[in-house]
Amino acid sequence: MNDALRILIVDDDRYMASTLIDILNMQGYHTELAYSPEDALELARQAEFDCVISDIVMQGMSGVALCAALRQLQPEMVVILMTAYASEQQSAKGLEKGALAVLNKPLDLAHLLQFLDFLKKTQTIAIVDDDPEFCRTLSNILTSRGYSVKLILDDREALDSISGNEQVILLDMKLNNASGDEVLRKIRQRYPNLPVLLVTGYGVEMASAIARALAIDAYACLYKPLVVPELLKTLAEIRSRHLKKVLSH
Amino acid sequence: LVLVVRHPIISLLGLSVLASGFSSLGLPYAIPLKTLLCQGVLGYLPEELKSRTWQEISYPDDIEATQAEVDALLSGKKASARFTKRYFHKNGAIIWTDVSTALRRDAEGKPLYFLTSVLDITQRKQAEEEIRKLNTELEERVAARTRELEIAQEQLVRQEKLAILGQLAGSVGHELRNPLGVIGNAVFFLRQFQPDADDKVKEYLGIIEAQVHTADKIIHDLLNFGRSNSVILEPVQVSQLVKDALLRFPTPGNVRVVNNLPDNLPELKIDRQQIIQVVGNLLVNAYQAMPSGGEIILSAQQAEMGWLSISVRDHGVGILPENMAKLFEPLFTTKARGMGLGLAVSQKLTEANGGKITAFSEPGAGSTFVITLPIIEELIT
Repeated sequence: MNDALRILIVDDDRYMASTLIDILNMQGYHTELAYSPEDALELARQAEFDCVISDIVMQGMSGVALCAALRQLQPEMVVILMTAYASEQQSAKGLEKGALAVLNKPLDLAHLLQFLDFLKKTQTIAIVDDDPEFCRTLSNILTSRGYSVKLILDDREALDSISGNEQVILLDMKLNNASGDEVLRKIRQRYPNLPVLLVTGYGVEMASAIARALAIDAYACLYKPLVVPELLKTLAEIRSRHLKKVLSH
Repeated sequence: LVLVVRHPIISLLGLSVLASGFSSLGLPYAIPLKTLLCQGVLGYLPEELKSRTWQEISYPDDIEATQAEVDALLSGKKASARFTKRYFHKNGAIIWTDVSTALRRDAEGKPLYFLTSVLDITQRKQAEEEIRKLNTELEERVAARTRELEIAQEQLVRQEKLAILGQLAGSVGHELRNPLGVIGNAVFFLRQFQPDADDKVKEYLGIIEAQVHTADKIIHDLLNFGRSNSVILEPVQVSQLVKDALLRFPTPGNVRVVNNLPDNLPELKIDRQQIIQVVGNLLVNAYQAMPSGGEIILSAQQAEMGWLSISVRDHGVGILPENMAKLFEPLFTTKARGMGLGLAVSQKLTEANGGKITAFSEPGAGSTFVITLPIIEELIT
């Protein structure tokens, strides 16, 4: 992921689009503009975007259909829909097609900017595991998928190395100096909302530790050898859930 | 049963007969009577009839009419007459009869005798009376049903109006949110763009922003009015609800609110947010009724079994009698500002919670609005 968030604005109302662009540019985001869903899809095919903000009611394809198409193109695409026509049905439909949220116009811009800031800051995945070989291969897989990765090979440094701005912590259960649930307890004390995904090769041996960890809000436990598609899917789910929570509250 | 007798020949057809008097013409009285079924109709024996005039055995109200017929026959105006009249049965009961009579004259035209047949139509008359009664009943029922239908029709028309109003409101409201969104964006941008702008500039940006919020709230209220309200019922402490409403709809400086609600009121099973809004509407109306200040009295009491009434009474301008009927109609307002939805919404919400809302007013003295809501069943003793 690049430094500046790349945001695509889609709205056939020129003034809504241009005012949004100006506001986002002032925040330092990189923005592009499409006046129609078709143009938006074309732009999305040519370049990657971190976030797409689109109106729903437009000529031609609706914003909801655009959202579905974009997510087919890029499965973890962050899509936010906006509308002047607040209806529960429409909201539900948008969320069903993968939108993170359906925001009402007039927009609460302070809230939206807060969310985008969060999106930008929390891009890194941190891996806490004392097996260097595992870390290296996993890191390669993730960076090739566009994630930025931070490795923490000594669990004693975990608490200091974690900034709290990670999108998720991949936490091994059987560490040299402690078990995963003890490390998690320490992390939770400081970062109660930080998403954590457990990994282990010792499912049977670590069973009770895993249970304790899940009880303090670990998202799930994956078992080594990791099945890559399953891992990626879980990571996307965790991210999406967390972003939704931030955007909706 | 009818008996016809001709003087001097007495018919044996088994009919009962009457004596007709000729006193005014000097003709002999009392034609001998065949008695066979005399008793069947009037219960008299023939000898008993001989000593009585027809007037004596006739129902008094019918004597005049009968006399008129007799006179008409005697004077030759007509040759025969047919009419109904009442006689007294020997036992005193009133018998309705159908009387057919003709005057027989001799060759010179002098009256000889009356030939009369009498039919007991008491049952028929009773039946007619029954029918008359049923007819009247039927007409009353039709009138009542017509009234019901008219009321139902009025309701349908009103609902139709509300539905169209809701749609229009929805359309307009949504459309307006687009330009409001752009204005909101523009103000946000200007604030960020010039964080060190002159205070006056900041003030004006604030004004624009506040007006955008106000406009959005009006749209929100309008859209909510058109929507059907789903009700989330829960046990609610009334005194706390009223206090919350007072917080949410703050009292202007020159208005004094006297809260006479006792703390130990029974709990209500209502949608808390909706009833806060209703109470709030009534409070705001009360505030606006007293622009130069005044007193508002809040009270509550158990109405009939199972109902609690909450009253908001102001000492404001009051409501004119001609406006009382239209008070809860949507878009009805006597104020310069405002759409006139407050009371219509209040009524809608109150009714959705199983209650009702009523208004009392004395122009110049003030108004009282009362909402009556159901108390939780389990707590009724």
